[in-house]
Amino acid sequence: MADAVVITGIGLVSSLGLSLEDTWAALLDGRSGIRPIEGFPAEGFKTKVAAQVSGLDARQLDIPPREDRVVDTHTFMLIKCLRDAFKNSGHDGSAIDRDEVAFFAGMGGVDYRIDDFIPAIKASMDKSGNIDFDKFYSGAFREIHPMWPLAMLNNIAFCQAAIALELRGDNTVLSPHAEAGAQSIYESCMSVAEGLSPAAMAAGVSEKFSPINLAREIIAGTTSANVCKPFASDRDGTVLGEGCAVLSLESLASVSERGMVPMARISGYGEAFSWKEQAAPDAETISRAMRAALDEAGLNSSEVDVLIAHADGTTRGDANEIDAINDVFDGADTNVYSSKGALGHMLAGSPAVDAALAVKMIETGTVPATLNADPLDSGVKFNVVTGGALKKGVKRVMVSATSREGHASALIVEAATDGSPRREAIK
Amino acid sequence: MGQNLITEEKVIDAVKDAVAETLSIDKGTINADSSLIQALDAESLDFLDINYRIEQTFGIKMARHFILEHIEEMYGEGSAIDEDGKLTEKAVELLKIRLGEEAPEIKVGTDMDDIPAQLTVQSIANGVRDILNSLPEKCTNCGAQQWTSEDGAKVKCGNCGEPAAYTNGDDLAVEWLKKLNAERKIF
Amino acid sequence: MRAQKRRVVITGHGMISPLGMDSEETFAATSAGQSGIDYIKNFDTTGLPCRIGGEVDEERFKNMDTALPPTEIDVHLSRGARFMRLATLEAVLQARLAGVSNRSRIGFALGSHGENASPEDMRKLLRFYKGEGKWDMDGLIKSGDYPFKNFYLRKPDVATAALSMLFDFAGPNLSIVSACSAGPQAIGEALYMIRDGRADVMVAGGCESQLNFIGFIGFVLITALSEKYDTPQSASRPFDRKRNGFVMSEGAGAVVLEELEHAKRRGAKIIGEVLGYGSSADAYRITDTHPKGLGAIYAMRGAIENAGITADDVDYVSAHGTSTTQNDLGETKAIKEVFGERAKDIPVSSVKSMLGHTIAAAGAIECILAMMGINRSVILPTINYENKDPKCDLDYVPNAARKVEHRIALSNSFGFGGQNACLVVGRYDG
Repeated sequence: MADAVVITGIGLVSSLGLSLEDTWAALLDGRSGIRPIEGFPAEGFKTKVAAQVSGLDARQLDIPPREDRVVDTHTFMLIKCLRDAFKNSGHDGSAIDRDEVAFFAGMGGVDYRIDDFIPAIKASMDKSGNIDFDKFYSGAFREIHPMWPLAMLNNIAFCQAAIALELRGDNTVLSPHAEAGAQSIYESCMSVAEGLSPAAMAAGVSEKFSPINLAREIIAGTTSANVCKPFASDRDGTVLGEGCAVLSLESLASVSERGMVPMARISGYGEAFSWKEQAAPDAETISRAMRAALDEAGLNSSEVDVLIAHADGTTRGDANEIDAINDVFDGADTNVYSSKGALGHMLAGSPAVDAALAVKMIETGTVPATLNADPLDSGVKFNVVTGGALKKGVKRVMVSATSREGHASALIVEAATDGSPRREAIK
Repeated sequence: MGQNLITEEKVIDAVKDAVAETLSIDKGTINADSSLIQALDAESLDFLDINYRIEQTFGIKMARHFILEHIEEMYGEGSAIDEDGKLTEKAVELLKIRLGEEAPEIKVGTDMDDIPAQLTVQSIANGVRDILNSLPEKCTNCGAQQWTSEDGAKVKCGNCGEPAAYTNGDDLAVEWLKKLNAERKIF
Repeated sequence: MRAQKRRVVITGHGMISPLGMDSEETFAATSAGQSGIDYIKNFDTTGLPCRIGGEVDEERFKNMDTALPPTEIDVHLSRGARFMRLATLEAVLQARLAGVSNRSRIGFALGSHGENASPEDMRKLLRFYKGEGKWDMDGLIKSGDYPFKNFYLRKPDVATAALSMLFDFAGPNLSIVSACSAGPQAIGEALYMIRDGRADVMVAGGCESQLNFIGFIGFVLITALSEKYDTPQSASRPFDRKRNGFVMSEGAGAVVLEELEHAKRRGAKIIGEVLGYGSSADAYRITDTHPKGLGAIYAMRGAIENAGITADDVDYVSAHGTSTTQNDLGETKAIKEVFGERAKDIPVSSVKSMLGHTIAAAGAIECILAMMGINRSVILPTINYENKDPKCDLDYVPNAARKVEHRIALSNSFGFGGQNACLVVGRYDG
């Protein structure tokens, strides 16, 4: 990337805590956020567990009660993380003009809240329990509360967060999977690097965990009944998680001027796409994305200290990624980690959360153990961090993220003070 | 008859509840003459929510269109609002009858966009009262004349349990206009 | 300011709208001031306070859609995605993209929101819902009665992936969901991708079909749709004093953006240039727009600056102009703020007066029409303009298209929730 774009503040929530510090401490401790499902009865579902976020509520976040009908878990997470990142980067009360701060978000999808329909359906039923559409159209539909259509908009949580922090700059909302989270980080970096915005907030937000999004995963055949085992030979699927991270990004020059210390910088991004099997991308596609990111950062794979893999515990998904890592990191000393055994698969939230974890790895020189990566798939030819946390000098971390629809992306997070950018600005 | 099942206090109280819940303000700060927009900071979406809550409480359908729109539709373009978007003399006459003494700001030349600011808790309650007064004599389902209410808000037939079939707010407004014009020949 | 080194031109475009099955048809119809709005036929609207919309010609759509060779991905395509398939086909053929062999340098950016389940399917789903969050999931799956694709219909990346695969676009791939700004934001992001050197070609645009049970009800509930109209054709009346809500439509718009040198090298026909893009957020309220039009002002100013021009260089504004009381007033104020004294001299028209509001597709369709208008020296009208609103006093090109040579146009899209996008397109003179 052109000018050095650095991370100055992070907001994060996960099933292991409502801050980056809490989540990090829990991960180092080997704890898992995957627990029996809360909030709805799970008997009817194959999968009994999820990594849900708890402890967030509207009042605590100063969300006015009049917004209650239009907010939900994904809104709470985004607003909390956005506020924390903004504050942690010293922008609260700084000279920064919020009208110019860019805001990009990768958001999970928004599903129906079936309960909202029930009053209207009940009011439309005829004596034999069938739905009389004439009744529905001529008045029963008004039993659905008028805020419902707004709660259904894919971008509503984003807009509410922008309102909460009064951010008016460059923006877009991408959806719904891991590529969206990675792209929002990339877009944010470019907005700053090209001088379009003085600062940018990059968000990755998971879906709210619900019967509908769980059903979607189960029907896709990608879930395990009760555990997520990245790279394990007996892995049998992923587990959904809730979570969000927001990275506050700014140019190195601006940060130095403000007297703040940058946390890390984003030095490379790559993406690739192939939907030949209408599923997660194949090994060749993942490799392409990884190599593109390395190329942009001007790095050899052996210079990458840690790879935070996508590794969501699915049979094919992990198999493809194993092949890609074996290929790209052949002969490299890179240690590999996956957060999903502990935090579940957070869709658009995962790349942002993983990027935040990368920052902690660089800062502390520690890599947590990958939960449940045991016994390792025999195809794995690289070092997966298992057993306990690893102590290692970490300067460069690659984050890999793939979607269900053929998309692979990779980001490189580097220590902030590791020299000037290696590549010339784009001609 | 059935109108006595729901008291005036209940109506005002329910409207205050709806406003308080929608705007998340203390019910104690709401008076009958509080203007929703000016005093209580409501926006357009809030009106939808307030109406929805009232509808759910009483089992009624509030008007979706303002009286000025009905006038324009019944008596022709320009009858209520002139070319510059301001109230005509006839519109003022009608509005004063409808909104009563709580609307001192309404005069010829008032901009139509300023009218919603005149809406008060009382004017909403008046609209609810009009709908409740449209309770038919007999149940439309079984013909009985046994209206009853368990909660002092929702009325149903004591014989067959069918909810009361009120006229909706828009139809009532049209009826009111027709009747008033027949008497006073304003248009 | 964004690096200006790589210029981005338009080498193809396609659209499906209530007024035509390709760009030429829609342009001809809008030039003639025709309306694509009528009573809705695709589902029964008896009893609803609004019964009109802009539907794509069903028979012609079915013929074109089924004429395409079937593929395994067809099952993934919603109605909106099928419109996009046709629009993309037109664009790709016009741009002769088959001749570009390095497909990883061709990307795809799509603004769309997926589709809603049909009432019949919703009814089946509800049979397995026991209330208070309890589901009989096993029963649902075993019954074989409920089409599982309903769980994916609203998943925004399915259409993007399916169409990318169909047309063999292997470059950057983006799915954008910013409501009414989704399409133009996709075009803007595509512009940036090419300028950043991540692609040489980006096919971008938006598609939407919410003219169904659930989609329609949503807008009726928030009273956003026009409910008082003499005829369906006269309902969408942007900037007119009697406007009272928008009219919902369906459609798709696709544009081929290409790096200039790349286009020249392969002898592609250059239709026009995308000069700049600006986006902003109102950060005000969820439905009410900012009273001073702040977000709109920022988006327009941002786009103008991004294009390396000044406000004085803009010859025409293709307005968002939805025919709602709020938007049209706010947009008028914003235009006056951005253009100052000159505002009254700049033609501002809303094609939504004829096409209705195609949500994610709107900005894409409108920017293509603005581009075509530049090339033919035609400024499209705002029809149904009959009653002057004293607060909306710009030149809205009332009722008849105008023959005017012009070079640069702005295309505005101001979405639900307050996300805004503005594109600048210009004549390519070399």
